[in-house]
Amino acid sequence: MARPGDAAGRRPWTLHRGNALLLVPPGLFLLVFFFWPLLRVMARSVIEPEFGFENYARVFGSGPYVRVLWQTIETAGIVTVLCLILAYPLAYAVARAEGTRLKLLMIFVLVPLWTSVVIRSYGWMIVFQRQGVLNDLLLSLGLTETRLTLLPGSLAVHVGMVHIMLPFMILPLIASMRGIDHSLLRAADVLGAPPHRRFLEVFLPLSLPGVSAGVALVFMTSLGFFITPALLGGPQLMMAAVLIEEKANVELDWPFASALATTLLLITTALYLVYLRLTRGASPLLGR
Amino acid sequence: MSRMGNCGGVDRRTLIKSAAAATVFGVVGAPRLARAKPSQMVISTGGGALDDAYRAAYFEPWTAKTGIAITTGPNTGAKLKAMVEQKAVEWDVSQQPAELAATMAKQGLLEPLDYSIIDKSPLIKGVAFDHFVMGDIAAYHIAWNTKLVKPGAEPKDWPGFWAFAGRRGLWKRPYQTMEVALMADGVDKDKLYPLDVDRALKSLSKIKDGVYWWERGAQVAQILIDGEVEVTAAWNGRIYDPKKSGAPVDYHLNQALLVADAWVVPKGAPNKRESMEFIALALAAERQAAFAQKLPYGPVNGDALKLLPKETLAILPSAEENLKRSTFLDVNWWAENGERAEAAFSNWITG
Repeated sequence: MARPGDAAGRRPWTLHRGNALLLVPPGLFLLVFFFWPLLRVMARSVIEPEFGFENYARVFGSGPYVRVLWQTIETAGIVTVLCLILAYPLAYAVARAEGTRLKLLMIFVLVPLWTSVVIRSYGWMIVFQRQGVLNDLLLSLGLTETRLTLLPGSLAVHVGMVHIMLPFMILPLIASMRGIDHSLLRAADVLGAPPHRRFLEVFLPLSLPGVSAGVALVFMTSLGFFITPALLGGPQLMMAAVLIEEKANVELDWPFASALATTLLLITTALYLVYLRLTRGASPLLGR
Repeated sequence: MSRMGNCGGVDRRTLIKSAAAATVFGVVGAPRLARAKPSQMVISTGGGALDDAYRAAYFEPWTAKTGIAITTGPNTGAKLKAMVEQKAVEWDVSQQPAELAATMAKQGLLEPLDYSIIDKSPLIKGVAFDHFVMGDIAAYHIAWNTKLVKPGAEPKDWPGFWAFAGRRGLWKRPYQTMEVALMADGVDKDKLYPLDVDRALKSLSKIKDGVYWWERGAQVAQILIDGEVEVTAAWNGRIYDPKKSGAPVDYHLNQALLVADAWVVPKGAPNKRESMEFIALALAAERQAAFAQKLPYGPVNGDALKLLPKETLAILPSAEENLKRSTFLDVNWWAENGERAEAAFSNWITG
């Protein structure tokens, strides 16, 4: 090791060491305000009311809680797939645009992000209720005979959540699509590839990092979604976060709420590990 | 919590502040016995119209009498639990739904009330408990949309509600909803407890598909006014105002289930004596009568009822005539059996 004052013996300052130093403040912040409380939540789930896995036995031993967890995963999956289907063509259009057109399209993508999730969820309530816009429209077009009861219901939850999550799918897609080198597409063209092959064999594979980032963001966020399912979902579609809030806040059953929260966290982590394996570490979330 | 609204998470900032404050005052604070009168007290409430009525009927007279100012904040139940666990209690008094107060008492989160300071002799039967005392009484009752339901066609009682051909709303919680399901099935209103959970669920199964399960108090008035449902179970505090301001809604208190707000003192509250004195003031006849003229929630003090005009008494759940045709929710039954009933209800409703 270097002696004090011996300048030559000091390890040289590198960008790498600088980066590591920059990680200290956020790392400390997360340690104190995130990991420590999280650990306490996890600890509570096995310590109270008595030491053991009784709370977990309650989670997995009864039909309704397992069903809620399953519904949560299923809903997050549906929302992710719908987002991807809607976002891909839109992101393609934005990625190819330039100038004013690009700015305009970006505004359309970003404006929903600037509006509160609560307000947007209430907006969907107005659309879906019996005396709402959608029912008025269906009736006046003669598509339905009577007013449909869509609220609370899974359709409303899916639509509301897709609306809210869409920008999180579009933005990574745009980023990765704009990074695609267009000379590669031209080369394919010159070599005689028809449009669909240029897309399927050149553009699509090159856009996959964006797809995988978007899918991860939307799916993980959807798993813990609270406001929209709380407002639009009925008892038939209860999501885990809504159930946890009910146990923690209304029943003050914190040990059980902790067990539910820990279970959701473990499921999310497990799914993420599977996802990393499937994308072979190519996810841009990991910087590659 | 759901009855009067306000459903937030624990406010982390306040928690940290209160923890910091507790550390400081824990060290330099004067010994309990020798301490001076506080200059300020914190009372947490459900907010909104309820908070306004409390302010006029209780808080301002309290400050006028004692010189102690009152600040209010949201009464999130989880926050009370967190403060008590961290031994950093910043609330002197809190208003809680009585069934939640019973749960808190069972979990050891509350100070016992000092009935040598709080006079329980004028209180009506069944409102005073060891760790909480009811402060005003509301009703879970039948309400309907007057545009969609012809005059006279509204359900007269819960069996009528069950037989009603139309869209119905119920609260998506086992409390209260199981009680009315049993009354619908013919159980006498005075013989509801101990609740027959299986029978309640069987009764609910008869109407399950056509029910709009609402969750929050603010929501029930809205879905009724919007015609999302034709009839619904609702709380009088939510329906009375829209009715008065001309919305197409009406209600009656026949077979109503009486539910209450309760005053509690969190364990380790900073100014216990003043907390008890405040509750004593809030239960005094004159103050209770003043409150009942602000909101249609009935007094718990029998003498307060004598101070009120007939028109006001007619809408108050705890007035004698209304008491006869309604029944109290048994908060202790729920504190003891809530978990089991809750699990059965969740299982039933998601199944």
